[in-house]
Amino acid sequence: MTFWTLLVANTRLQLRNRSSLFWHFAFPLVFMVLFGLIFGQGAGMLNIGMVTDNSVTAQHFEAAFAEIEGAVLIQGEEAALLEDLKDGQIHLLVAFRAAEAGQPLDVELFYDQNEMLASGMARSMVRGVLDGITKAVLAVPELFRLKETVISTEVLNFMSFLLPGVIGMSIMFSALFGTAYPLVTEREKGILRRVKLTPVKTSVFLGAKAVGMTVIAFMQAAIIIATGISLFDVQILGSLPAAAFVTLLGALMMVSLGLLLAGVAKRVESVDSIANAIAMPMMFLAGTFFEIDGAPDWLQSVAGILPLTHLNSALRDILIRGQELADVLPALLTMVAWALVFILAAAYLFKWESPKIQGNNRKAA
Amino acid sequence: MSVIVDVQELTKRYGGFLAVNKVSFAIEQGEIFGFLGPNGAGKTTCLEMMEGLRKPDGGKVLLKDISVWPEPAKVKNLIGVQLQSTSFYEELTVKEILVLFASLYGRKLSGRELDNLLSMAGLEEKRNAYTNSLSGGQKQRLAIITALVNEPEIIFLDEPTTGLDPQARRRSWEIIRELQGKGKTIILTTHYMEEAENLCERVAIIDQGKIVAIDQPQELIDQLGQKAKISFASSRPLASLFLAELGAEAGQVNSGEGQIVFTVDPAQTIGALLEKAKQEGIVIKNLHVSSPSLDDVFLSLTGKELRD
Ligand SMILES: Nc1ncnc2c1ncn2[C@@H]1O[C@H](COP(=O)(O)OP(=O)(O)OP(=O)(O)O)[C@@H](O)[C@H]1O
Ligand SMILES: [Mg+2]
Repeated sequence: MTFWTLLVANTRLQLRNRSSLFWHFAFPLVFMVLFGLIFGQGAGMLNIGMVTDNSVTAQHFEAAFAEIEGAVLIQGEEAALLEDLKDGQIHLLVAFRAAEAGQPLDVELFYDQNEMLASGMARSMVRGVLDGITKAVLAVPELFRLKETVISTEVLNFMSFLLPGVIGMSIMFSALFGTAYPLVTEREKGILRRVKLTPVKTSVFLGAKAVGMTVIAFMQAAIIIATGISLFDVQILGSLPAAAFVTLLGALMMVSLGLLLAGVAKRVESVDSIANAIAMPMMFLAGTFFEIDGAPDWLQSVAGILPLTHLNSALRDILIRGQELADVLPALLTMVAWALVFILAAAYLFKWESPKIQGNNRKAA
Repeated sequence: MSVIVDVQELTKRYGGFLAVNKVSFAIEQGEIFGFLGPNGAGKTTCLEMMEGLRKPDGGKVLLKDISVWPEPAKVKNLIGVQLQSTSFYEELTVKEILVLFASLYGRKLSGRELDNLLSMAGLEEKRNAYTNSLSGGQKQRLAIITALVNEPEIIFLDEPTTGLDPQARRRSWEIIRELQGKGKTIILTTHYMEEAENLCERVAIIDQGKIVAIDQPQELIDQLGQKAKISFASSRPLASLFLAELGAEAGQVNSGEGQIVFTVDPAQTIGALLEKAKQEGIVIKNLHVSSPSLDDVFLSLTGKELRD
C-alpha cells in the first residue's frame, strides 16, 4: 500500500510539472515532427549511387527507394559513381554484384569517411531497406525460388528506422532527468530527511520512483509509436509485447543510471551538466539517428558497450525488423548487466541529506 | 507522572566545535517542554539527536525507555517530527501530503482522521490546495499535523512559530495545547520569550551548547531575585561606578542602546537615580519600570539579549 501511494504521488508530481511534461512527451514529438519534415519533404536530400546487377534483390531495392522521400537513387557505372562520391555529389554508393546461382548476393557500400553524418544516414537507410528485403525473402518457405519469386517487400522508410531510436533516446533523457532531478531537489529541500524519519524502506521509496518512471516510459513509447504510424507511415513489424518488455528493461536500466546520478550530483544545478554530459554523446554514439560505422574503430568499440546502444538496437530489431526477444538476447543481457552495475553503485553513493544543508536552514529565522 | 524522555550527557561536535555539550534533562509524559535560545545555541542539533536524525558523539537518549541510538528505527513509530526547515512537495495538495506521509508509516488515514487533522490546523478549506499556495502560517501548521499522522506519543516541533505574526502564532499554540490535552508530550524550540512563558510548562535555556537553566518559566524569573527592571536612556553613559552608588539593591546593568538596572527595591533605586542624574546634569529619558521576564533571566545568565 505504501508503494502504491508513493507511485501515485510520484506520477502526479511528474504529470503536474510543466517542464517534466514537456521533456517526457512534447520533446520526443517535436523531434519526430522535425525529422519527418526534414526527411519527408526535402526530396533529394540524400543522393545514393547504385550499381545494379539486375537481380531481383536489386530491383526490390530500387522499388523500395522509389517510395522513400528523403533520398534519391542515381544509377550508373561504378567508376563514374566513385568519382561522384569523391566529389561529394553522392553520399553513398551501393554496388550489387552478380553472384553464382544459390550464392548470397554481394552488396558493397562505398562512402567518404569525411561525410560521416550524411553517409551514416544514407547507410542506415540502405541497411533498413536491405533488412526489409531479407526479412521478406526469409519469410518465403522455399528458398531456392528466391530469384523468381515476386516478393512484396515491406519498405522501411527513414522514419521507421528513426522511431526506435527516438523511443530509446526519450527513455534515456526522461529516466535520467526524471529520476535524478526530483531526488536531488527533495534532498536539497530537506524532504528526504523528513522521509527518513518515517519507517519506509529505502528500497520501497526508490522502487516507487523507478516504477513511476517506467510507467512514463511506456506512455512515451506508446505516444511515439502512435505518432509514427499515423503521421509518418511507420511500419511496425515486430510484436508490441516484446517491444514493451525491452522498454521495461531499458527504463529500469536508465532509472538506475538516474539513481546513480542522484548520488553523484551534490546539488540540483550539477544534475543538468552531468546528465547532459552523459546523455548527449550517448545519444549520437548509440545509433539513435544513424549507424556510426564510419567512425574510427576505437569510437565504435566505445559505442558498442554503451547502454543506449543496446536499448536502441533491441528496440529496432524488434519493432521494425520483426525479430523475437530471443534474437536480441545479448542486448537484453547487456542491459541487465548495466542495470545491476548502476544499482549497486547508486546504493553505495545514495545520501538522504546534503551535508551542507543538514538542518541548518536559516530561512525561517 | 512518569519520565518519558530521558537525555543524559548528550554531546555533538562538528569538527573541533562543540555544538551540544553534555546536555542532560528529563521530561515527563504530557509536558510541553521548551528549548529557548539564540541562533546557533544548539537547539536543532539537540532535537535532531533525540529524533535519531543526527548521531551524537556521546551521551544517551531514552524515549519511553527505548534507546534511540544506535538503532533510531525503534522509535520511529513513537515520535512525530516537524523539522526546522519545512518544505513539501509543491505539486501535491494538502490532503495528498497527509495521505502520503501516513502511508510512509504504513497507515491509511480514514476520512474522519483526515478531517480531524485538517480542522485542528484550520486547513479544511485548503484540503485540495497545492502546498505552494499556502501562506507561511498554513505551511507551518501543515508541518505540525504532518507530524501527527502516525499518532505519535512524543512530538518534536522545531521552531513551530518562527516567522509567524502574533495571531498565527497563537493559533499554533492552540494546536499544541490541544495535543497536550490528548496526553501527548511536546518538545519544542523557540526564540520567543512570550512563547516559552505562555506555552511551556518547563523551559531549558540553552546557550553555546549548554543548558544554563531549566525550570518552570515563573520559577526561573523568581530565581532572578529581582522585583523590578528599570530601563532608561541617558544623555551621557552612566559610569558603572556611578551606578554602583545607586545602592546595594541595584543588580545587573547593561549598556546597550539603553540602560537596564535590576533592583529589589524599585522606589529607592529610581529616587537615587534621578537625584544623581540631576546633580551630574544628565538627562534621563524613557524611564520604564517592569517586572523581569525570561528575556531578563537569559540576559542575566548569559550576558546576552535573546534576540539580536
Ligand atoms: N552540519 C553542521 N556542520 C557544522 N556545523 C553545524 C552543523 N549544523 C549545525 N552546526 C553548528 O552548530 C551550532 C548549533 O546549530 P543548531 O542548528 O543546532 O542551532 P539552533 O540553536 O537550532 O539555531 P537556530 O535558532 O538558528 O535554529 C551552530 O553554530 C551551527 O553553525
Ligand atoms: Mg535550529
